[in-house]
Amino acid sequence: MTVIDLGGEALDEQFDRLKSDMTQYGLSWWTTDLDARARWKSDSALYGRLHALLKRGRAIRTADVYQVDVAWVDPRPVIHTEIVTKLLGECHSFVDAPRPPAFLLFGGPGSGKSSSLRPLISRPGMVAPVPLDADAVRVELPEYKDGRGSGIVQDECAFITYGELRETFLAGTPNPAGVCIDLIGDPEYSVKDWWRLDRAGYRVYALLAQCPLEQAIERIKRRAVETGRIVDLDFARKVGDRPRKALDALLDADRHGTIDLAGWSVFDTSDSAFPGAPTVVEGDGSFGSVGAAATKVAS
Amino acid sequence: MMHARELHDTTPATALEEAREALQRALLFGTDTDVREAHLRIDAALDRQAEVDRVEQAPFIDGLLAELPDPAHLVDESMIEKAAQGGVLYSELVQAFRSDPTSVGLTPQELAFASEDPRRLRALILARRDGIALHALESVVLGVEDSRQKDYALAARSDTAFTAASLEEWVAQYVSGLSAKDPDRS
Repeated sequence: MTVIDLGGEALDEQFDRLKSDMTQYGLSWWTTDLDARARWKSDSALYGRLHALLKRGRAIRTADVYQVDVAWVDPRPVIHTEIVTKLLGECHSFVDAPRPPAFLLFGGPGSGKSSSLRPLISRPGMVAPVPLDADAVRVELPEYKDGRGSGIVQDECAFITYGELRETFLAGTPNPAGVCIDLIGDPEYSVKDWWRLDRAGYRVYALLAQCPLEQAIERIKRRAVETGRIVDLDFARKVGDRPRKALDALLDADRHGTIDLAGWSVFDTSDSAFPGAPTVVEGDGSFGSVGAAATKVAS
Repeated sequence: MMHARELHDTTPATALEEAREALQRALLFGTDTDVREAHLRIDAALDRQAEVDRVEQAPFIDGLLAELPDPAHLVDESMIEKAAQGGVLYSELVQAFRSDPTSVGLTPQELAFASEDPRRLRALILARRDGIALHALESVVLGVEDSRQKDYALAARSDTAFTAASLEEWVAQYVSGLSAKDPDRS
């Protein structure tokens, strides 16, 4: 990762250039990538499809090259297994509780869900390694290429992160060390999500990261330039208070006794918060007192 | 399902982010139908983005297209061709041939030739690699099979036989037989 010291127009300029580079990479990578070439060279029908997509100006995803119907073809299943094995190998089970914790991390793009909230729930000796981390999966895919290919691997990344790991952690026996799921949050679904996690054997915590929109936009641009991972700025603006509403839906259901939330908190993740820890601005005390720096959840 | 109003209210990039958020939800908590619908939304968003990129990136796209072969002229690279280029092992070719003789990309004449004895695939690989015509290959192979049956059998069984002394000897004889028959090749 390149750490940059840019601001204002220089950052905007670099962000725009990056978007153009990513677009061109998405259009062209499959013409030079050795594995992709070997695949379309031996399958003229596939080549015809890819050629037609390019002709229309469409980015070619890894899924376009390596997915047939819903199945991934060689060598992708091996790559997926390697990634999952590696990430799960980094998980250590510290807690042997009958109902492990599931952490729903709500927040818009750039709000600090991953950077500020994940550290709160991953202390050794407490709970929750964080296996369902799309950012960790994305960089393992060969076409990621320091971020230039983050768009073309996005759907494959989702398949690995949420599809394969769902089989591992949300079906059958719950992961004894817990799970952590980053979501923007949607009031239409948050209570349903609670039920699904409850049925999967977890006690569910909800955490919300919030910061001023302009700071989130600045972080999105900075992260894009540093890692290549781009989020559409209009989308970030459009998200608005949806994460807050997702949490409110849970709190309403909890108050009415429909669900039993294990704990919750709203965190100020803005740049002016305590260095190294977000500030608790609301909550039930699971993550520290209101007005103080957040603490890690007690097991 | 993508609603008409969403199409007009969002930019393609925003629609793509929303579709991918739907895919995340579907993969985590949804049904197969939810996943399919999310993929359709992604496709629709990518199509909208393509309309923009086709204009903004026109010189880049046209340059790429000019360098790529015309789809009408791209012929599938067969397994026998891959084997000739070293991309497929001889044993893999034989295995595929035994499962389905028509699957490895042989012409009808080559198929008849190899069907007599699948070990002849080894010679067909060499012929493809060196551009030797089948009729020239046939007579040489028949001669070698008659005179050096044991070495031929040993060589034909191994993936690494190209470096084995027995195969080198066999190949030398085979090549000299070809040169004698076709002076233009030497």
